[in-house]
Amino acid sequence: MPTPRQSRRNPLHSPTAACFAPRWVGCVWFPQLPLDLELQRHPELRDRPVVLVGRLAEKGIERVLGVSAVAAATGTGIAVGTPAHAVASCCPGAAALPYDTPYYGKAFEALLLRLEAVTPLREPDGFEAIYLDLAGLPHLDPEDPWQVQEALQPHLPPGTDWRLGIATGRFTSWCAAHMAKPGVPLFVPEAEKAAFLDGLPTFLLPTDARTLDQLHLLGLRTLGHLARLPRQAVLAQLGWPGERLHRLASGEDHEPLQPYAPKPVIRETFQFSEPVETVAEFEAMLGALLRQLWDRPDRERGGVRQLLLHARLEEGGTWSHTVTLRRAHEQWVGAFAELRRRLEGVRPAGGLLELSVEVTSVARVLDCQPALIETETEYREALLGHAIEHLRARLHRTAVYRLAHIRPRSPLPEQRWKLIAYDPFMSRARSRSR
Amino acid sequence: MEADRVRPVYEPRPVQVAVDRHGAPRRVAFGVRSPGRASPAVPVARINDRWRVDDLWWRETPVSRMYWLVELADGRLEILFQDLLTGHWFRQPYPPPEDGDDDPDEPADG
Repeated sequence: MPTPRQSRRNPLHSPTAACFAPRWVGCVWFPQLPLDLELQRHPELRDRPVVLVGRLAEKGIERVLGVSAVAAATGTGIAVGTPAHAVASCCPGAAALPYDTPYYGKAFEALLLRLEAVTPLREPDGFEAIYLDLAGLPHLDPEDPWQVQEALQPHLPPGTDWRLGIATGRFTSWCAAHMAKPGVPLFVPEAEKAAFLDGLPTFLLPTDARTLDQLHLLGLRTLGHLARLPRQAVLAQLGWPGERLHRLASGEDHEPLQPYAPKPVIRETFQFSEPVETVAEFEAMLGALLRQLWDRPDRERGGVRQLLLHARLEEGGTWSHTVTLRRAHEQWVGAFAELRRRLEGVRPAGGLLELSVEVTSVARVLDCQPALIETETEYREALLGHAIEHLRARLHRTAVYRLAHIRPRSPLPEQRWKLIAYDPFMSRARSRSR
Repeated sequence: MEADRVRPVYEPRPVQVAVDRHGAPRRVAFGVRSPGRASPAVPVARINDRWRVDDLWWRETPVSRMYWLVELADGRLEILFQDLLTGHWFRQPYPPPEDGDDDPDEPADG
């Protein structure tokens, strides 16, 4: 295995020669970024075994998705994929934290944006890796891995385990990052590429578990085993995806990086002054947030197809739920009515401190035709809605409320009722979903 | 997000209360009319009822109140309570429960 190389000037590193220079790619690999972020959030858990639990599919059971080094060192057999219910019996002292995708996503996006100071072309790969185009940068010599590491260091979260691999091509840099030791970047020169890849295990290949199993059954344990086969034979056995794997294993890695472009986040958040536990308050806020979302001028036109709901709970945890709507909704009322039905039984348990709703998918083409002629009821509701909006705009505050029973059996009168902004559209949505 | 989408109702309002040696309210002063000048205290003519409420004991800030339904000398009925944790007095007017109010499964819709 090649060792990290010392700084060496690149003879091709000049503006005229840059276009002929090899495309150097740096791969920053995070072996366990979600866990590192959780341990930064909960420093008191550093000495305890910690596992992250979550669902891989919407209807699947909860499984372990991350295991901290302390938890792995206990030797209790907890591994990624273990059912979450087995954690308590296997390792009674382990702290099981929910896999907080929105939190990791935000941290990862912030990281990607910070890395713009290093290179304008970056490609994210899940929460696991970031590829950096290091070619043609005036301030950085890609053949000096220590210089690249120093340039990256200030932009990466402190206390995070990350490895740097540099090579020509995305896949080779990914392999180099996996083989690098913490704090020691690994540089693979173009001439040593084939030799470097030869002995690496096939599980590094970017493919699905089924293909990896197939390679294993064929006795192909290393990239060298695969690369030495005739390409036509691999194509016949595994199809075009196999041909791609053969190319990658042979070091023919010319796939360009897909540049990262930050997507506008369409999210609305409300923080409650006191923990909210009732369905009525939850739905009132959900309706208000949906309306805010639909009114956003930066929302893409078309129907909203998927929403991500996220809540911060009084007990300290979080609740997240992604809802793919049965059809794209152009009006928030329809989405609210469907959400009310779909959230039955999966609403967050316990007091809510914060609720946010984010649009995660938009359909440009609607799959239903809006009604051409509105009914008498709809006409009256629209008139009432416009009148209420007019009052709100004139008084700069909500003018019409409805008295809602929040905790009907509470002995405290101020908690029994609350005034909730009256919205004729929401009333319709509520009655429609009943 | 507009902050006025949900508003509290029947919030307790602080009052000044003079009590007798048993802790029962004798005179009530409602708020301040102008700076430095408290409104005159109204004597309590009769105490019609009293009850104690202990709630939210599972939270960091539990609630413990002694409620008094009093008839003032000018004929008004008032609901007062003393916060047993701080000793402060409040008035809290709210309507008595009506038929059907106690159905927790069906929140009122306006």
